[in-house]
Amino acid sequence: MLGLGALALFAAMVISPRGRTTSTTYPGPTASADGARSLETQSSVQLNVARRAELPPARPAAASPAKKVADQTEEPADRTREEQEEARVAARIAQLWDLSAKTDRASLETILSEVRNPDEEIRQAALDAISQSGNRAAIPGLREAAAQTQDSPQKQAIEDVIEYISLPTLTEILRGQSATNNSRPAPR
Amino acid sequence: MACLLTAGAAQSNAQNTVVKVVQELRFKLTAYYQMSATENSSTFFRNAGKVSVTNKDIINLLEPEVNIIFSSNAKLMLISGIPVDPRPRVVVRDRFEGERFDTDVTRYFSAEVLASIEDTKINKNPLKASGSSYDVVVFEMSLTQVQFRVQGFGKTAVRTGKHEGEPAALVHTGKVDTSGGGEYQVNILTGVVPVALSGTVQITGTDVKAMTE
Repeated sequence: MLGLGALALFAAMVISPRGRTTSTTYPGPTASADGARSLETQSSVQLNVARRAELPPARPAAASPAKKVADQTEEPADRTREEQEEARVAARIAQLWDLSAKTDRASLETILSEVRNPDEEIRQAALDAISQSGNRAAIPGLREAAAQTQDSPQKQAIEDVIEYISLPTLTEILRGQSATNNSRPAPR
Repeated sequence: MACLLTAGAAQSNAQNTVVKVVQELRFKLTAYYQMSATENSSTFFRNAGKVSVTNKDIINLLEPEVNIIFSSNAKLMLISGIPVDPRPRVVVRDRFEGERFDTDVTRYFSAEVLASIEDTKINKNPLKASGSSYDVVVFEMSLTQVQFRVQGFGKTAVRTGKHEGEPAALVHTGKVDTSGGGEYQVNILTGVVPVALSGTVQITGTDVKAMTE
């Protein structure tokens, strides 16, 4: 029951107009009873399209015919493969984030091993995980990775992380134990 | 934010159980502050100092406010109601003796979704959302020692969040470039130091959970 309701509301929500431009209440549809028990029906779609027509430059009411054809011809097998690949990358990224909370050498080495991964998402996640951990023990490994990288943007991304984790942290500053910065802030 | 704009469905039959989008927040900010001026025989120097601000720093700052010492595994989470929630809650999620617990810190560290404009494709069968969204979100920390406000804009990915296997919400995930300002008090003697902030906030996760309120 909940699933059907969710499905219907989800569809209604997605198709409905969204004219919000400020931080005031968002004019999306609420959990109204009219779609609560039905799957997405043609009538509900038509209703929402009609409402959208009243609004100035709204999102397209539906995909263009050409786009629709393209969407329909998308092979399910391709989609499945794509989804599997997405899931694999997401799982690896989640592992990297988990490892970033640990302080042991093995975890750090695993994260460092992904800094030059050919998959950009994984590579970026590894760098983000190191930035988030603030683990300065990663600096020699990062320097090594940067030295071995020919690709300029990749090298720059690694060097940016080195610079970031070399900075004193806010916690260090507030506790008066700045790691690298000996200068006093100027009070206002 | 991520769930900045969650769209979709569902309130369970139980009176006080609601469905929420649960996402993780990761801050990577740099704070710039004015250091004490120096000079030599010919020149004055007004240098900027730089400090990193990540989740750990934010969680450390929140500890005294809630009287809890969080573990190093503590996470900052964004909990958004559906269908939409312009003011999602922020909680610190941690574990104690194997039990997970959430500490609501919204009072001290809040989030607000200012705008979210979607450019998405929704497969009807199976129901699945994909595409992107242009989102503007604000995070504000308000503590005695530190106050700051950063506003971010990002093109986030729109995904389908599922609850009990059923599509239940549109979920926005991605990295938002942020900047803002604030001030912090190093100690009582030092006084208040203004800061400029710049960096990113990453919003990840598509979990939709039933929660009791």
